[in-house]
Amino acid sequence: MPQITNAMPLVVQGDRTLLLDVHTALSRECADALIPFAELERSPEHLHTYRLTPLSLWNAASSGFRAEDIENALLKYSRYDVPQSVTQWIKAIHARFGRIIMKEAENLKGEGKSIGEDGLPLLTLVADTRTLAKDISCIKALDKYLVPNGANSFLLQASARGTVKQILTAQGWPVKDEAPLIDGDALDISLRTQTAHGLKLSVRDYQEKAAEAILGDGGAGTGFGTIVLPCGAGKTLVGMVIMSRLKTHTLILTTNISAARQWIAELLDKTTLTKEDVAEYTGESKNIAPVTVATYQVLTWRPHKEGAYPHFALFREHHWGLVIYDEVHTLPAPVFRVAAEVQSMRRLGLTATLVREDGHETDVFSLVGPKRYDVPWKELEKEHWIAQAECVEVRLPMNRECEELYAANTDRGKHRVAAENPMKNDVVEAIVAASPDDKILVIGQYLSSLKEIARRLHAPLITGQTPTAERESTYNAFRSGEVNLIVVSKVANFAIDLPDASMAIQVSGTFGSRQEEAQRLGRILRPKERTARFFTLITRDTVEEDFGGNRQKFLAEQGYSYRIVRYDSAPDIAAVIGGGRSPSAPPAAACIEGHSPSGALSLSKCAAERCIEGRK
Amino acid sequence: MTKKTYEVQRDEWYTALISEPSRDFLLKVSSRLGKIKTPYNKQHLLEQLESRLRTQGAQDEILEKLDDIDKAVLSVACFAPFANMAAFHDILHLMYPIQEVRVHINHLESIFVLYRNSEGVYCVTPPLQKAVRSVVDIKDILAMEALGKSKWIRWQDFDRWTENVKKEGRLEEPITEMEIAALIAFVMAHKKVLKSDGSFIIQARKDAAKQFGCSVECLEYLLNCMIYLDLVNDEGALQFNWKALAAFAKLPCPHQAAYLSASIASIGTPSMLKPLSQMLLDCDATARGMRIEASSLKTLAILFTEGDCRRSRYSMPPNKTTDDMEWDDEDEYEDWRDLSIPEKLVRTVNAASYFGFAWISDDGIYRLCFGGGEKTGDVKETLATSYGDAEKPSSPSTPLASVDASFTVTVMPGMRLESILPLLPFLELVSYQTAAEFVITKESAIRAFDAGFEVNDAVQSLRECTGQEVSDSLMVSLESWYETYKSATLYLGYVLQLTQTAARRFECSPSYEEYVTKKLSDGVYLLNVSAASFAASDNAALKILNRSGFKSALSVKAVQDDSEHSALKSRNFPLLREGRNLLDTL
Repeated sequence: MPQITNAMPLVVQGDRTLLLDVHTALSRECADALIPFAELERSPEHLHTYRLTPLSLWNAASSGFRAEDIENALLKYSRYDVPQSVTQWIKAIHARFGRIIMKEAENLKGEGKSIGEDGLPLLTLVADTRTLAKDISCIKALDKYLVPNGANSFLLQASARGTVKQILTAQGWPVKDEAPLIDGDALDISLRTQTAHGLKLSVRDYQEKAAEAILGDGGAGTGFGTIVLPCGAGKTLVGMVIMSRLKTHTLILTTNISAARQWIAELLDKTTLTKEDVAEYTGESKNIAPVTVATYQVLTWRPHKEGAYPHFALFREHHWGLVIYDEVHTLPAPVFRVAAEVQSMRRLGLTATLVREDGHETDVFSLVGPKRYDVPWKELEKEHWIAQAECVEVRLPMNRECEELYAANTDRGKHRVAAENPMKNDVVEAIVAASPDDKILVIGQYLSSLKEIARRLHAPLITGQTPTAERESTYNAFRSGEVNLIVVSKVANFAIDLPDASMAIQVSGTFGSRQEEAQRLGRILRPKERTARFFTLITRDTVEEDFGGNRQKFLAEQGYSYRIVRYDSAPDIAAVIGGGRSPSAPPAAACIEGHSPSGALSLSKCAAERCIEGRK
Repeated sequence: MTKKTYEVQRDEWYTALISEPSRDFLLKVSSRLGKIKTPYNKQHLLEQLESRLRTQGAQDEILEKLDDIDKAVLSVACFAPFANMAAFHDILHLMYPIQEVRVHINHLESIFVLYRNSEGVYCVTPPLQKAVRSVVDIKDILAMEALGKSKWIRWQDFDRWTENVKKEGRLEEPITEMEIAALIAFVMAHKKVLKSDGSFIIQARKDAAKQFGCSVECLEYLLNCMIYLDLVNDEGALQFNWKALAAFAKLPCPHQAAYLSASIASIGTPSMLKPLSQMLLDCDATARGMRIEASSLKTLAILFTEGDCRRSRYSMPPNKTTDDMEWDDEDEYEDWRDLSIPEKLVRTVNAASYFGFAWISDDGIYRLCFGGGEKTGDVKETLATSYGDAEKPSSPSTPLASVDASFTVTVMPGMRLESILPLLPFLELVSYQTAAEFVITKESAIRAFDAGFEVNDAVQSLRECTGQEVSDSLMVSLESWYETYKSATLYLGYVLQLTQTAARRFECSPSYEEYVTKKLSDGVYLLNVSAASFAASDNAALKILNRSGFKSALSVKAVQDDSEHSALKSRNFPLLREGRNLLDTL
């Protein structure tokens, strides 16, 4: 591990990336300073990469950060001169926020509100200069929404509120939304002081602050936004705090059915809501209650490819006062459409990262809201609320028979031969034997080899064909400690809540899919006393090794300790297991690696989040 | 150039005066010593003249009467290494009418301030040298201005200037060794980079624009200069000359900069590379912190022209007066060859401006900065984006490179090319901004192995650059990739196969080491014969056999080519049916 030095920690580059040297005394302080206005992209063990984007600057601007504050932070921590192009860009981009304001239109006759065709009060869009107003009027896509109203303002229907913001943001002009929000139907909801399970419930300071950041003083421009917190930091509880303050009917949108059920369980455990108050709206059950938890999947279902989305009615046919978008960075594109229509509702986005794989960050900004709160990771790390994990890639050879089969196969066939290398079964067996204290998941893609592993290890096997009852029973046995090892197919990628799993052994997979890696790793990342370990078995000199490169890059960039070990024969198992693991041993990553898991974890509903207070 | 002693110069002066016709001599001497009595002794008179000129009174009287043209003429005589009439012309013709200059030279000669030696060079009379030096100044003949008095570029002009610089593909900041390193890694990752005209092919241009923070034109220019310096061989595909690169990397940074800048002006005249490079460094040292006009750059070229080059008339093409230059016959370089040395210097400085070693303002004012780290506060004020030498206080132990678990190698400014060179072949460029980001991949490692590098080269260099041990993961990967690379090798050459007994005898032969490049397996050898020309090579291979005692081998066995030797066998004829008798169908 390199020594901590007194050098300045930051390198500001012309392409607007910021490299943070974590081996410097000021690195933590600098990381905290960067959080409000820069997005963390990568966090390997030496240099973390942040990026300045228009959205990151507008998010900062909406939180009250001035361009000078940003420039001063860069100048303060920069090791080399800050490129002038960067500071000029910051000034130019930052200044765009607040130049266009959306608010309720004044009644042209002087009293009351002007009501639009949609039955809602008309809104007005005001540009700060005539030139800008002219630029806006030149945007063709806005023609059907905006009606000129004076030298530099326009009138628009409330139903076009989101769409107009979306179009302008995409054109590089963020809109400061100061139009009022409607109140939904009232709901009697409070947080319990003691959970239904009898544990003491306390809201952490940063969770309170996050809720405050969304609610503000209740005036114009408040009541919507996105909270960015790492997995395990308790985003769900932040949502519940906001619900308890607003006391209004709430629609919660989640990534999958398991996450939806987890939300319901949490609501019943930590709030005064009863079973009658909360309903599940998913593929399996379509009930509506004052608090309804739905999945993105059910909302985006439609009977015909080109048809309408029937479940979008859920938004319109009920007087919701708050919509919570869980894992907002995974919000499917069609949901943005309906989100654009319901801009008069209070809304909350929860995520561990604002970076989206599909580039729809601007839609999150304009339709859900700007980032309002981000917590310094070091504080969470200090409290041990972030799980630590070590990834080990084991490269093993093929036997002669396997080699011949591999050589004779097509490209597709080669992948399977490498994946089903029989030596992997020996290594799995050896790892399991050497880890008696771990609760282990063996995960794979091909059923034949999984069956063989399950047979050899006398372990239960869960595949897509396993009946739900049998699955639940096996999971319960694992949770209770009755079973310490399960062999699972790719059904394990999603929706398994196995808090105590401390080790995953991946025998096959696509390896190139970031989502799959993140989800599989996510199975073992819930906070626990011991460092979690994620083994991946790869057959040497095969296509698997090439895929392994992508995987290595992805996981290392997320900040996980990554070890490559060569395995030739049984004695090498010591090196595979090695690393002098102890329950308290931190991974080999550097001092602020706790930042890292954002991208990885946030791709799936983070299991750690669901046990926010359970550990206590 | 060695400085002559006073005695040598005095003898030279005496000789110059003595060799004048007696009448002229007496006329001139009498003007200073009064009426000369006959018989006279020239030597004695010169000694008297020397003592007279040494007196304070005489010196004051002479200096008092010097005007600006006199001082400019004397400056040329003092500072130019070869102040012949051509030099006076070249240096002073833009400042004064040349006829007037000639009159002043003659006058100064007549009052014993100047004399002309046997080579036609004008020198200051030895007893007056100290006094003359006190009144002449290099600025009498050079238009240079300190930046302190007149800023390089006014702040309000800065944006316009940087815009022009970018438009022309020039760099605002001097290129660094890391930029060269990044370019090497970039080129290695591309099978083809350059078109025949020296510009990047479309794909390379796209990739370079994405990966580098500087203009693609600058990279093209840099790569071409590296080719001119033989750091890269352009024979179909670009191949790095690693030994030359290692030697280049060892040079101090300003020297590297000078060589790169001078390379283009030395095309076709390789012998000019060193003098031009040296001249750049001399000019930089002279004009550091100054703004300088193009005419003054030419003057500096004359002042710094040394050795054989100075024999030429400065304004004439050097190839017309020197016979020891090496010229290529290629016509494309003719324009360059015909340039005078001062012109070449100006072009070289223009070339340097593409690399950010010289800056040229809109009104043609130059500023040189080959020294790298000598940028003054004044320049920093105008050029906010400087790096490489601007590290804020940091402890000396801050490593300049790091390698992370995804094998990404990040290199900070200040890394020497020499340190990272052995690692470069293993690196694939990701981006070059303030820091350079590379990644070690299987492909890049195999390229490095193929270029003759070994795992240890990468490991040693990584250790040196990062100050850390190389991780086990990287070691495992490098070794595994090396194994993969080694698993198949394709040779081109002559293979000798011997029986067991013959092999034993062959390996004992004293010339075995000389004859064999590699023993491929028992009794099978790759011979040390170039396969460039098959006819000649066949003979060379057979000679090896004969010298090793295998007289029975008469020919080289080649692989049979079916297409040549079995034409009938491989030819297909369309199937014919049996002959049909037309009458049978009637």
